[in-house]
Parts: sequence; structure tokens; C-alpha cells
Amino acid sequence: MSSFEVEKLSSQLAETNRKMEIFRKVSFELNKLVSLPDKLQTILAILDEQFGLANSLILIPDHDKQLLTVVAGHGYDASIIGQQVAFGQGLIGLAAVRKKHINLTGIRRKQHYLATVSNDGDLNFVKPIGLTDAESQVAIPLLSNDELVAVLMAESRNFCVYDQADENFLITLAQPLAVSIQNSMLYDSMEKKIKERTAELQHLNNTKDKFFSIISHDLRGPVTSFQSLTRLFSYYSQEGQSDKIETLCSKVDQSVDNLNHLLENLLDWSLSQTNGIQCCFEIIPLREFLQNICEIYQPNFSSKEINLIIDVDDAICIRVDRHTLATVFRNLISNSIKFTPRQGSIHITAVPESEMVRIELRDTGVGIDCKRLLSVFHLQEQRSTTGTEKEKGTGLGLTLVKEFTELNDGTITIQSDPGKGTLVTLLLPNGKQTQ
Amino acid sequence: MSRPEMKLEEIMPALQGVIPSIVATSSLDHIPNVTYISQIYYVDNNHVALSYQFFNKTIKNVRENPMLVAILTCPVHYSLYKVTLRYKESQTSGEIFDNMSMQLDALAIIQKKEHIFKLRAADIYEVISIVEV
Repeated sequence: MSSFEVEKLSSQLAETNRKMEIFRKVSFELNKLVSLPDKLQTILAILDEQFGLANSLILIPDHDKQLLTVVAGHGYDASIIGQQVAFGQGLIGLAAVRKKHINLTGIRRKQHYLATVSNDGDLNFVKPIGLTDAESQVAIPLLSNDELVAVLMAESRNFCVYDQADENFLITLAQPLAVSIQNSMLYDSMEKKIKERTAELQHLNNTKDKFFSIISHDLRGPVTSFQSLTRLFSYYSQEGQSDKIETLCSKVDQSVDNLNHLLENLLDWSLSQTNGIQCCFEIIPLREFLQNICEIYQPNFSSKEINLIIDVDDAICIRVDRHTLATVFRNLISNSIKFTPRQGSIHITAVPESEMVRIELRDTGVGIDCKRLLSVFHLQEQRSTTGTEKEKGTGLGLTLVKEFTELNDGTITIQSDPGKGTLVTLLLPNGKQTQ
Repeated sequence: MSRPEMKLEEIMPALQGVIPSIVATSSLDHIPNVTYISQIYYVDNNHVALSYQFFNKTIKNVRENPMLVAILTCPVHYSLYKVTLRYKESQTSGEIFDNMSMQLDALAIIQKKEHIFKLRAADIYEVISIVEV
């Protein structure tokens, strides 16, 4: 073997080694668990290092919109990212549509030639997304199973910067690049779907928790009052006061009816809310609505000797979702009962104000101190406080009250004077105005 | 002493169309025609292609008399090569035609002249000789 042949073989070996090294580097980058743009950015830097591709881009197609968007750029300022090229437009667009690589050099002279032979002296170029004065450009479509995954474009202000061997190697490199990009995109879309599903499940779980809280909270008051009645039964029985037991019987009967009615309502409502809390707005007479709710707590009012006054005109109507607003008032009234000492009072008033109705619920309870008042509506800061007669709570009541009031296009504010009482003000849509 | 003949792959930079080539043809009745051509395309080691966009004297001549002489310039060293070619066929489809058509389209689309510049055929020439001049 002649020394010339040895030299030639040695040169070929060095070239093969160089290409193997590039493959190794690119494969290493492709397998990294980083975001797709970061991965592509690094690959473009490797191509610059190995092939001198000082200006290069990778564009991802949107087949529906027939557009290619730059996701990675090397040798340009950051504004290149996100720029778009229409399918069929320029070298990149053509490579995308025809799924074939193109290599052009002497671009500006050829442009002038075309302008001259078409008797159009003025060069009227469509502004390219990369260099405005490129003399050489190569665009390589990255295909996976004949599907366009991306386009790699490199350009230079110099002539003949991409020789045939380098171009062929880039075409070879395009295949694993395409598969990796496709895999990354699939991975990203799967990750996105998993996140969406997790959020959906989390939401459903939160809704379920909320329903359990509402049901348990709403049932606690009436059940407690029922318990009080049964204790009274026991007491009167021990005392031999049969006349009082007879009086209690009708109260027990009424209390059971109310409890049963409340339970049915809550169960019907929770079954209808499988897709989260849905509001069904209707116009309802306020006084009747409040009376029905207060009826449930009648034993509590009696046992704590609390004076309830509902000072609401029969004509006042509100436009709300019956179920969520019932939860609001059940919570507010049970709270007032809970924190109002014996022989106190709860006063409910309502005044129409243009498109809203102002409803005030004032009690003579223990009130709320300033610090606690600031956080009563925040779930993470909620802690249940026992009532004046050790009544228990879930600690979720006022959070739900605020959320449900807002669901009804209303607002709620609480003012309190510790030791003197609390005033809860609700503004809810006026049913008369919106009819 | 005559210069040694070269292979097409040795003059690849001259085939990238950086510097226009000079082509000389002759009609059947020996009237010569010399003109510039934008690019001579590499096909394989023994063949090149010329684009046929408009019917002109060069096209007319090679259809009558298939011999063509081109002077190519290397844009790297500015060496000149005299390449003697023989017209073989015109292709209106296939890989060579598609590649040449795509290059023309890429240039024309940027100027919104794709409706004017259409490749009619890729004229394939056999390489007879290459000599550096």
C-alpha cells in the first residue's frame, strides 16, 4: 500500500471518528431529560462546533395552521424564537412541504439574475426570518415515518459553506433527531395530559370533600338539637312530668320532619352535583326562604331561648341558586345560634337596593376579635371554635359561605364587636330587578 | 505538455452556482453561441445537468448539435475549468428534476415570482472531459 493510500485511509478514519463523536454527543443530548427547546439549542451548538453552522434554526410544524415555528435558534438574538414561516414559503417552507432537503448558494446573485431576466429591476424580497443577506442556505426536513417532525435550517453570509459530505452527514443525523423530537413532543403532551387529569381528579376530590363538609356541617345543628330534645325527654321522664313530655312530642315530630327534609335536600343536591357545584338560578321569595331555613333550627332557638326576628318584606325576591344559598344561610344562622348566649337575639332584615338586596343578620353573640375577623374566610387559617354551650363545628362553614355567596353573584362582609355581637351583610341579586 | 484531465468531484465548488458559467454551443450549420448560465448542477461522477426554463439559442443548438463547452470558475481558488459535455436527454420528472425545480422555486418564491420561473426540464449532459485552464 502506497503512502498516499495510507494517508487517504488515515484521513477517512479521522473523518469517521469525528462523525462518530458527533453522533455520540448528539445522542447524549437527545437522551437528556430536559425541555425540548433546551435540548435542540444544545444540538445546534454542537453542529456549530463541528460543522461551523454559525447560524442555524430548528422549526416545528403546525400542520393545521400550515405554519412552522422557530423553537431553537443559534447565532441569532432571542427574538428569533417563536417567529413563523408559512408552509411553502422560502427555503424552509419548501423543504417542509416537499419533505426534501435544499442547498442553495450564491443566493443574492441568483436573486438579482431572476429580477433582471424577469425585467423587474427592483428586488422585492419576502423578508426572511433569519439573515437578510445570506449567501448560502441549507434546509433539511426532519422526518419520522415520512411525517414531518421539524425543519433544520442553516445559513451563512459566505459562499459554499456546506459541502456535499457535511450535507449528507446532516441528512443522516436528521433521522435520530426527528425521532427524538417526536418522542419529546409525545412525552410533553403525555405529561400535559397527566397534569390535566391530576388537576381534574384533584378538583373532583376537593368537590367530594366539600360536599361531605357541607352535609356534615348542615346536619350537625339539627342533630344536636334533636339530641337536646331526647335529653329533655329523659329529664322529664325522671321528674315524672308527663305533661311536658306530651308537649315535647309534637316538637320531636316537627324536628324529625325538618331533619328528614334537610337530609333529602342535601342528598338530592349532592347527587346532582357530580360535575362539581352547578348553580341553577331562580327567583325566590326571601322571607319564605328564610323562614323555612330557620324552622330547622327551631329547637335550638328554643333550647337557648334565643329570640329570632325575621324583618323582611314579603315582596322582596332574590335571584339565586336555592341550594347553595340555603347552605349559606344554614351556616350563618347555625353560627349565630352557636355564638349567641342564652336569651340573646338574632335579627334578620332585608332592604332592596337597586339591582341588589341587602340582607343583614345581626346577633347579640360573643363577636369575633379583629385578628380572627381578618381570616374567617380563609380555609387554611380556619379553626373551628366551640360555641357558648360547647357546640362543635367543622371550621369550614364561613369559607363555604363566602364561596357560595360569590357563586350567587353576591358579596358578604362581616363586622363584629367582641362581646356585643356580629353583623353579617350579604348583597344578593334582586329578583324583582332582573325579572 | 497538456494538463491532466480531472474528475467532476474535484471541481465540486465550481458546481454550486456561486459564479455563473460560460457556455458555448454551435448550431448544425456551425454558428457559435456563447452565453452565461447561472448554474451547472452535479448529477453524478459522469453527468451534469443544466436547467431548461426558457427556449433559447443554447437549447436550440444542443438539440441540433449535442456538444457543449462550459468554462466553470471555482469560487474558492478562482481556478477555471474547461468542461466538454454532450447533451444526453431532457428529464421532466425524477429526483434531479425535482431538486433543480425546488432550488428555482426557493429563489422565485422569495421574490413572489414562482409563476414566472418554472423549470421546464433538466437537461442531462455526459461529461466528456475536464481540463483546468
